[in-house]
Amino acid sequence: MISFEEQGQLCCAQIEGDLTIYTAAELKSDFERLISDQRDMELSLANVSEIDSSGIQWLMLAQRERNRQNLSFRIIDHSSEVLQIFKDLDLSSYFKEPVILDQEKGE
Amino acid sequence: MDLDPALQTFYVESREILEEVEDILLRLGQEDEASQKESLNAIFRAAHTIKGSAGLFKLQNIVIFTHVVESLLDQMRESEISIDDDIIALLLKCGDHIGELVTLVQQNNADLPPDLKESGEVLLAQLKQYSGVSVFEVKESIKNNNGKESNQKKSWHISLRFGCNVLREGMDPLSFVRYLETLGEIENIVTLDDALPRLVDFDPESCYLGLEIKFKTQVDKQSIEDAFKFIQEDSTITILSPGSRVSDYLKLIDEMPEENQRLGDVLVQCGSLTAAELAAAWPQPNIKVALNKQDRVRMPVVQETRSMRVDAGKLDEHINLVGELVIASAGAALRAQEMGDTTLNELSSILTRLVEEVRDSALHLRMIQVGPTFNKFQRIVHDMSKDLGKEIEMVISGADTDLDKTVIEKISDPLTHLIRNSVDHGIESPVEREEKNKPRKGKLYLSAYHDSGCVVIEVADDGNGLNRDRILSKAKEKGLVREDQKLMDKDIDNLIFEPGFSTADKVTNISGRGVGMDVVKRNIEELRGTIELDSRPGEGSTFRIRLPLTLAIIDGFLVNVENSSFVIPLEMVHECVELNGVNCKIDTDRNYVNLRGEILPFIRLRALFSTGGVAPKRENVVIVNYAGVKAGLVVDNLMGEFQTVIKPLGEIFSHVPGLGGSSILGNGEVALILDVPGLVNRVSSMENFSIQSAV
Repeated sequence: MISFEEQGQLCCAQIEGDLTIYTAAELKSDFERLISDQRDMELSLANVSEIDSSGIQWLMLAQRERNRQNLSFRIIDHSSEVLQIFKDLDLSSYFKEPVILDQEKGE
Repeated sequence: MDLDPALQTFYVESREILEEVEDILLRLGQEDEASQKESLNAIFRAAHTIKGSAGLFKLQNIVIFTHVVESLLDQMRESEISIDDDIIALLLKCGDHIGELVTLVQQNNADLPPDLKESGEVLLAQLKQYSGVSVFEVKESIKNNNGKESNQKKSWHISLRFGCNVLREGMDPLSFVRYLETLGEIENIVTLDDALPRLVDFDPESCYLGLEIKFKTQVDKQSIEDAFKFIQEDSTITILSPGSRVSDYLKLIDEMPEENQRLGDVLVQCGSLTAAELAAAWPQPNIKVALNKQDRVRMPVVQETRSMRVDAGKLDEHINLVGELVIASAGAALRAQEMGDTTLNELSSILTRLVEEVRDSALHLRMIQVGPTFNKFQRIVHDMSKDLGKEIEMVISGADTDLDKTVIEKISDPLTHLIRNSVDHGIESPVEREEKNKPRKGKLYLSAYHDSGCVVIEVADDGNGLNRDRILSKAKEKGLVREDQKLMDKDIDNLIFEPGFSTADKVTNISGRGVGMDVVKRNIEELRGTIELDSRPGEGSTFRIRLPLTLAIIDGFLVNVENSSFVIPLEMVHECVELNGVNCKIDTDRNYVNLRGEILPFIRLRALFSTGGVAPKRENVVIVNYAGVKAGLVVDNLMGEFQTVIKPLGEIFSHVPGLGGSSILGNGEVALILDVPGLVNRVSSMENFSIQSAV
């Protein structure tokens, strides 16, 4: 599930638990909110324990849909697993924020 | 990642492949050089496929063993090693071994049991004698495959558009990327989001991803293709080999759903094409190509799928439901008739017809051809005749006969037994045959055909036939027959079906190990089938198995005695006549009915099932016919045709003679299904008995 914390113009979202095919459907309403929220969005992946292609799809969709609406979207605190997948699929440039390769920052 | 569904497919496919290989191997010896070459290619591809899939699941045991087999096959393909009987036998054994390894994985046994390990090592040693390739080298080469740079590596381009169900089926595009990384080096990868719909249309469990990969490896195309074996059905996979021309890439661009310009850029980004190459190919925006593409998008892609795998459990559930539907529609039809509403009656008759059609098509789903099962016996005959030093040719006919899947599964064991018997006891050794002026090569016929609502399977040989003297003396010895008893030839033959009877003078490796013909007979009877035997001394013997087409639903004929209803399978009903009418007279003294001059035994169901009550003035006789024997069943009323679902009787009633099952009528009452073969046997044996006692 995703928790949202408002900090003025900034909304800090955080995914807890898995981001996989098993949870993909449950996350629909959360992602809908995440995509439509008009504030600047920061999504933390620090607590994502497992992620697979369906999770990646959600993230790609969020990025693209927010781009379309000219809303900002930033993924922060990639866990080491997320980093590995971004590397495997060469997605760092897709999520245009530079990935910070310092893994400790994720903790 | 959950690989379970894919693993299931792997088990099933490996088995199928191994069976196919076995068939090819058994034919290989007789083939001419050209077709041998083709067969070897087919076997090589098969081994390669198994190795590739096993590699995907990291099943090292299978990979290593299969690799050694594969190297031998490769050498055979290059004609470095010639084909002879020994090598075929060895390859057959290797096939079995791979099958066992697969079974092991399926049973979740991580460790190799010692006996399997040992037999594997023996085979590997034998393989090494031929090919000179040892396990050690194989392990090394596999290690190298996964290892570092090699100057043989070439760049491939792989274009993937995953099918929308890939994720649901437990497959993850990521795992394919990771698997590719074990085969070689991914130089560049571009993940495509073009198929990703807008949020409203987005189904989180569908897969929309596409990948363009530039991949450097030394493995061959087959290995790369094998990686995607489990998604190839609904995903689009294009693999361009190293050195493909620019036009091949353009074709790829053209075939893919994305905008040409966009995909061109992606390929450039991948490094598979250079910007200059692309610019040269597209001097200006190619309108024609774009138009073509639009046309094609409008036409839905018709993908022809000839067959699909369905879980057998689902099919059973379906048949069950259809069965319930049949019962429910019979109830509705009955009620409609009672109400006497014309429109309702008409509707209900349409409904009944449709239900009948649904039933037929549902039952047809369960039908499979007996061919594959028959082909399995080729191997048994091949191996056994080799062991026994006999020359036997197996002739299969009617392999396309359809039979219920459950029946086929259950008939396999009894058939094996009959075939082993024929090979072991029936067909003589070549020397013996020559002395009898028979061709050296014995023949074993295995055939299947339809006959009045039944399927008949015959196992026949041109061997010695049954030795009646020996059977008779053995039966007397065992107390099955009295010393002074006179038996007809057919009765003597049938003695072999008695429990505890085995004529084998010496217990051979092959038959005579305690499981006798009585078990065969029982197995067949459990399927509501019968077995009969035809033996001609010196010429051979024929076992004839009759089986019902299906186990689930029958067309029945409903009759009534007192307050009980009985169902007789319609295909066995010959005719119905009035008892003591013009055509049918009864002779109570000598217990027969005279049907237009034909003398037939009969049974009064009233007496047989002790229904009580008094027989009505007019009784009816249903003449039933089974396997050429006719008999009369005396009943009170004839109710007419009735389609019914067979429900098995409970454990307690399973031994009641004359009953085959039960069914529920439209009005909710229970009707008992008569076991006609049982009844016919009963009356004809009673008749024989009385003839014998009269003599």
